Amino acid sequence: MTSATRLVYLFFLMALTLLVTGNLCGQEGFAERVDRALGSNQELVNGIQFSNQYIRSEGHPYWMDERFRTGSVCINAQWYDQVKLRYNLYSQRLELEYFTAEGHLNQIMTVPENITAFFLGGYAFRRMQIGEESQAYFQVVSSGSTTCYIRWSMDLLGSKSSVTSFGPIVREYWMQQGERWMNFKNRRSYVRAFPKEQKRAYKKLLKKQDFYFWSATTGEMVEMLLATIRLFEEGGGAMRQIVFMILAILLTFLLEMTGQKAAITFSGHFEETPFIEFAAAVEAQTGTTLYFRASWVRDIRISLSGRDLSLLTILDSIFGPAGLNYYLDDWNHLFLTDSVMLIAGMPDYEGTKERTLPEEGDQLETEEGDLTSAEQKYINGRKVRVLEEIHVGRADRAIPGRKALISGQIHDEESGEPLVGVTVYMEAIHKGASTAADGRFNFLLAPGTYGVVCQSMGMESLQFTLVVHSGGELELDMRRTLIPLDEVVVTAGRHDHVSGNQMGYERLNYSVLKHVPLVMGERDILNVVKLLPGVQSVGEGSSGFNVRGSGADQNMIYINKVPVYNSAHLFGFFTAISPEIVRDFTLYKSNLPASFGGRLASFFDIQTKQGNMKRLSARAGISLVSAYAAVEGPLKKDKSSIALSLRSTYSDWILSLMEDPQLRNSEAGFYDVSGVYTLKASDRTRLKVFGYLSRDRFKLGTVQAYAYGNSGAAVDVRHRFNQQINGNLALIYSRYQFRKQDTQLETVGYEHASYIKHYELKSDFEWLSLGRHKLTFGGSGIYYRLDRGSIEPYGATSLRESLDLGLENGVETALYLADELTLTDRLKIYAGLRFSSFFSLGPSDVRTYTPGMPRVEENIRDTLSFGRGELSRAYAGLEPRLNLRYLLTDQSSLKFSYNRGYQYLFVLSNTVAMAPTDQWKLVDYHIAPQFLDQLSAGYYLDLPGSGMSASVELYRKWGHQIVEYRDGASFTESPYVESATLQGEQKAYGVETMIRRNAGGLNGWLSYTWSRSFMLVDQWETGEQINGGKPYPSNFDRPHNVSLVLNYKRGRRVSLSGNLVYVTGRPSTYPVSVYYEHGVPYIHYSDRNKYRIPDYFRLDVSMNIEGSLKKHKRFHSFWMLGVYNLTGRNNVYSVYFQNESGFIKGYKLSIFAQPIFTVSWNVRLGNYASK
Amino acid sequence: MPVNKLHIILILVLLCGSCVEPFELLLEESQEVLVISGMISDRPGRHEIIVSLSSPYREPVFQGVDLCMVAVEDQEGNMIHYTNIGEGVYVADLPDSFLEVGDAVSLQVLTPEDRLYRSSFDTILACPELDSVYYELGQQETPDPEFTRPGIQFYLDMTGGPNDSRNIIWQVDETWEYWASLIGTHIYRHDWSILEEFRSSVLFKCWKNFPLDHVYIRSTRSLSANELKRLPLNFVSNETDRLSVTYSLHVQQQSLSSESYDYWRRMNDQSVESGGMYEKQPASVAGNIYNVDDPEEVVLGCFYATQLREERLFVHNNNLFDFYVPHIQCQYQTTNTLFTPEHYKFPVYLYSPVNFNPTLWGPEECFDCRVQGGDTIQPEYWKAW
Repeated sequence: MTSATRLVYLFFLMALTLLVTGNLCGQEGFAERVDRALGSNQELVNGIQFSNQYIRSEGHPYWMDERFRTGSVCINAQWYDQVKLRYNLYSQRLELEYFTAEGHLNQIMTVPENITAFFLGGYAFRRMQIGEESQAYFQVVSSGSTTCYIRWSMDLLGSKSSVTSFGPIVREYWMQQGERWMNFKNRRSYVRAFPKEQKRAYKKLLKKQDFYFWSATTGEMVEMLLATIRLFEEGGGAMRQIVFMILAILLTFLLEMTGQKAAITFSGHFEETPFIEFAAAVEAQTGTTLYFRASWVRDIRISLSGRDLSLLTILDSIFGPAGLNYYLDDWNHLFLTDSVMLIAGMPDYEGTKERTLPEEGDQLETEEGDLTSAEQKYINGRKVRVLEEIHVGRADRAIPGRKALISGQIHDEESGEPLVGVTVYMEAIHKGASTAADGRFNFLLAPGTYGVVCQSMGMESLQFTLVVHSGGELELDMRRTLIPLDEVVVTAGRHDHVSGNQMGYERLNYSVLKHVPLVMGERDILNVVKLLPGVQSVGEGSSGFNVRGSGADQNMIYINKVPVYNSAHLFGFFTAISPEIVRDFTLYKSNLPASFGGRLASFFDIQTKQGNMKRLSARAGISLVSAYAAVEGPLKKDKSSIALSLRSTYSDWILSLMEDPQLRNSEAGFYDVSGVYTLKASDRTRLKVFGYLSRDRFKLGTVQAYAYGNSGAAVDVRHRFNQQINGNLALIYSRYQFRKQDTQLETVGYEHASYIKHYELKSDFEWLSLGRHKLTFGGSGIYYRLDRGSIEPYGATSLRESLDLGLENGVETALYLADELTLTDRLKIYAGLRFSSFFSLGPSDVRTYTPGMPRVEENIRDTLSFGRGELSRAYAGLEPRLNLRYLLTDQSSLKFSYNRGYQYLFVLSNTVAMAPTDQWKLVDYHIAPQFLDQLSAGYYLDLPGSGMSASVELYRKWGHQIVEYRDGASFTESPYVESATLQGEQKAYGVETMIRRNAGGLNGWLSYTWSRSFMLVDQWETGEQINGGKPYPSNFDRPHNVSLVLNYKRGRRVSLSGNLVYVTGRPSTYPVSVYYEHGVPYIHYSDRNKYRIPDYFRLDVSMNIEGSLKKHKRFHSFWMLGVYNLTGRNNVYSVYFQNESGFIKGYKLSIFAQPIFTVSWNVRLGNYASK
Repeated sequence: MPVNKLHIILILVLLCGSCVEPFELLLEESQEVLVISGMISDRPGRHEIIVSLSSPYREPVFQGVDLCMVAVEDQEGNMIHYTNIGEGVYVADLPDSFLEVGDAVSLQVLTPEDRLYRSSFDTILACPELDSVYYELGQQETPDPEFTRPGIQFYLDMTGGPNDSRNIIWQVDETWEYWASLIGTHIYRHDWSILEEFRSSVLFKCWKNFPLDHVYIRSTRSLSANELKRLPLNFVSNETDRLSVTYSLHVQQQSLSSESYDYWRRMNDQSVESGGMYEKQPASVAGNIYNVDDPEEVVLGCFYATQLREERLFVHNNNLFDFYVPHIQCQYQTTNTLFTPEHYKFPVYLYSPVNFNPTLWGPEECFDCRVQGGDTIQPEYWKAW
């Protein structure tokens, strides 16, 4: 704004004020009426009365000091002299003290709009407007045609326990000469504001006045300004350009408060001292080293004196006028530069676009992007392709017309680990197999010559000619392919998908974890699993997951055959298994192999790394919440190996940032450790010892504390008896323990600890000699010891009576037999039968109830006592498994399966999500095992050439005797669980479709699932019902579910990944109406799960940036940057209702309501390609 | 990692905490369900039964149902009939020793539509002694870690014998006295022509009385002794004017049968559920009242019989608190601060000292305590200091 427009503006404002005042005067106002009625004159005494308004403050907000001083004030163009005034810098009001007619001393805050000017302490103030600021009081210092305006203000620093304090005084300066305006803040900007040729004069002025803006008193300030104005007027005032911005100058304290700058101080007296001498003195005092070129500072003379002067502040004022810059590093080296600014700090990592230049002696590997696909093809095409010939058996043992058993094993050439899921395929006879968990495969082949292709994702495909003479063995090594190393998403091979008999089956490996963006930068197994079709969770931060509409306790999670009873770390935000030890994991949703049993919905089989038999490798990483380290390597090369992983969190600091006081005073932490020892005892025998430990602790304020942990171990021996029979014997131990302290109320404080122990002996055999048959059989026995714990008083004042919830013993046994029969080239059948049984053993006291009556306390008839080891009840069930696969074409197949399963233990939970505090419970005298029938059918298709495959699966489930909880049940008040539970029927059905691409720079999957899940509880014999005996959607009935996982790799150093998840909202019970009892409003709820919370949508992206690709280096590091919930959608985790002063208010709780940016840094031994 | 980058991450983490927002429901149904609730105690005197309809969730209003026939019957067939006093309230004055510990009673309600509802019989159990109600100065934490809110926390001690009920419910109501902030001398009531003298003291003291919107319920069944110490009741902070003059807490302790306890425990659970990470599935709580002809009909509410003990505690603010309790914040203003009378609504209160100079005014709420919602009638039980 030029001064002309400003003048117009000011004029306009004045005119407006006049108009308003005129309007007021024209009409008789209230004041006049009162004046008339009571006869008073109140022109001066006009404002808001107050007393001691800053009595609870530290310091005061007044100009000069707190006292009222004699001054003059102009109110509505009328000057009042000899009045007591003070100027409040905070409220920007002038305060007036006066005596009332009765002689009381009163204080009022005047109305600023009425005041045009005042004099206070000998200084003049005007109320005016500068620029676009609103009207304010300005101190006016004027001489000749030049005027300086100073605006004083002060801020409230904030209040703490109702004591307020004020910030430093803020002064803003404007200088005006004629039409020119300028502003400044310190010695440097002051000097700079003047034309170059005059700078020297102003600098001299500052020196002469010994003037520092930051320490000047009001008097000194005015004196200085007047001197400046005089000098300015003499010089004719050819000023620099007009600057019209407001500079807030925190003169008094700010510089002293800015950390390092304040840290270096010195004292002394200098008068016209050359800079070099000054520097020497400062160096001697402060330990700072100054680096400069003598020619720059030749003219600088320093005059100052004082104690504890801030070095940098003074340097600012010295160098500013001299046009010099300086830079202070962390070691107190002070570098003077001329006009060049030294950049302190490195540019952002993302900003570095330069390619790493090859150093001498280093080879730079060629990036994929450097060659076009045509070039690649050309190069490949020139390579001479010689197929290796592998002979098996001896020609002299060949029996013409009789097939020979060929048994092979495939290893990773680099690590020596057996490779799982490698397809071995013979094109000519359309025969294929895939390797099992130990890398083995078997064929029955007539003697002859076959072309064999072995393929596995992430591996170079292996082609050779197999010459079969008689039965025998072959060992193959596959090499890692350099290019698609980390692109592998799904290792289940092409042929598996269509020709294998698996359905409702997903296998993923470690590298997927690296590419799926996850919350807090933590790679996590279960969070990846939740992106697969048919798998859902109740919400973020809920333990467990739901498979095809079944409860979370119906999933079995095995890690190297050790069952994990609680897979959640930190309330389910993370999985209790470090991804660093995981090699791959398989999820079975239907067509469960007969060797698996004991859970209804799914088996989640995690295989750990076995340890590299060839060489040592290590990895480590750190993210916002946790740090991990993993190491693996041979103990004795090619004979035994070990793999160890350790992970721990330090998440307490996040909790300390929470707003909620209870969360803020909370503590949370977890760690997990696992280790594997593998021994190749002989060619035929392999021993694996696995140990696992996880611990969690959580303290909620002073109110509750939880701790829980899993521990487990397994010794697994695999022996090949002969060419036909493989056997496996495992001894397994697992324990889950839980402890809780509740101290919400001292007199009822309690402590509760419980555990479940699992001892298992399991054996599995494979028999391959029967032509088209592949027979598997085995058995297992599990002894459960479950202590539901006792509720014990906690704390000296607790009156709680201890209550033993009971100790349970049970034995679960199973025997199975299954046959995989290849009927024709196209039709394959898998049929199995599993017989399981459960024995509930004493000691126990069992209540019996009046038949036909609800099993509650009122209906107790008798108590039965069972002695130690005495059988109280036995259950048994047959679990048939059937699966058909029919190849429609080479690229498509139809599959069908049926299975039944029994489950002899379940989780006691009455919450929406599975909570870490939930307890396990065995079936008992009253509660019968849950069982489930599942039918499923699917169509599978490969689209050769594009690397794409597609599948559609349908399923239908009937669950029986599923345990549900009575409304309002509590599990810690009585050991008799039958009084808190009911059993009902479950029905679930759905369609799962999926398209995926496993190869190429862009890979991933898109899946859509439509599914429903219902519960029905209507016990006709006792008349007990939930929801009036009508079916209701289960907690995890979420009909529509879309997930998209994409990885895009550009070159080898950068890869981008993204997830998109859409799920229908979880069912919820909503309030329908409100009613009052004792004046308190209560809610009448709808039928159970009648409504749904809003749908869930989330988009995550992440980027992996690899370190340099140098071939020879000790460490390779990579960064993972990610954004979880990129769109920041407030996904509703739960909807709840609260009574707030008589109104029922609905709230939605979102857990990650903003995009969450995460970064983690990972490092491993070796180069990029090292695993 | 450069330091500034780390700072950015810290800030981002701060932002990502959980988030709670208001939520509006879209319901397909809106039901009005009959609610019958009431209590009868061994005390002689007035007793109430309330018959109402539930109201839609969005517009929570109390809808009383009048013109019912209400009666309480004991096992011997003795009946007490209730009189409808409007708004769904039915009252009866119980004679002396109508009920004693061990008696069982049931409620009958016949609606104007000729539907008969009954409650099951509820037995009066002996109520433990209410030893004392007391308070302690305390601090309540707030979302700002630097700042705690001072106030007083009320507690209760109770001791019961082996034959006393182990299930207790406490109904608590609070009453407090507060004062207007300024004294006035004159008033313009309707227009500027009549200036009246004004007796400020009439409108200076007020009392407010409300039941706490929380029912305290506890069972000592799992405790070795039938007693409770330091059971926390409500916390009164320095944010309201409750403690400004005199505050009174009235606690009614009632024994409950195990069925009634179960009902109230579930009602209480329902109202304290806060939607945290692991909450129970909410459900309507079925009481002991049913339609005699149609047992399927949903009827809300509960009728219970109890032995009653009560205690009233007064807290006077005679500078006991080392924290500041807000009164209504008012300042006299000079009359020039009133510019146009149109902007001001009557009545206008003035304070004018002896010789009318200067005359001061203030807003109505500074002179008339009733504007804050209280009543100027002092309750009978009030103990002033």
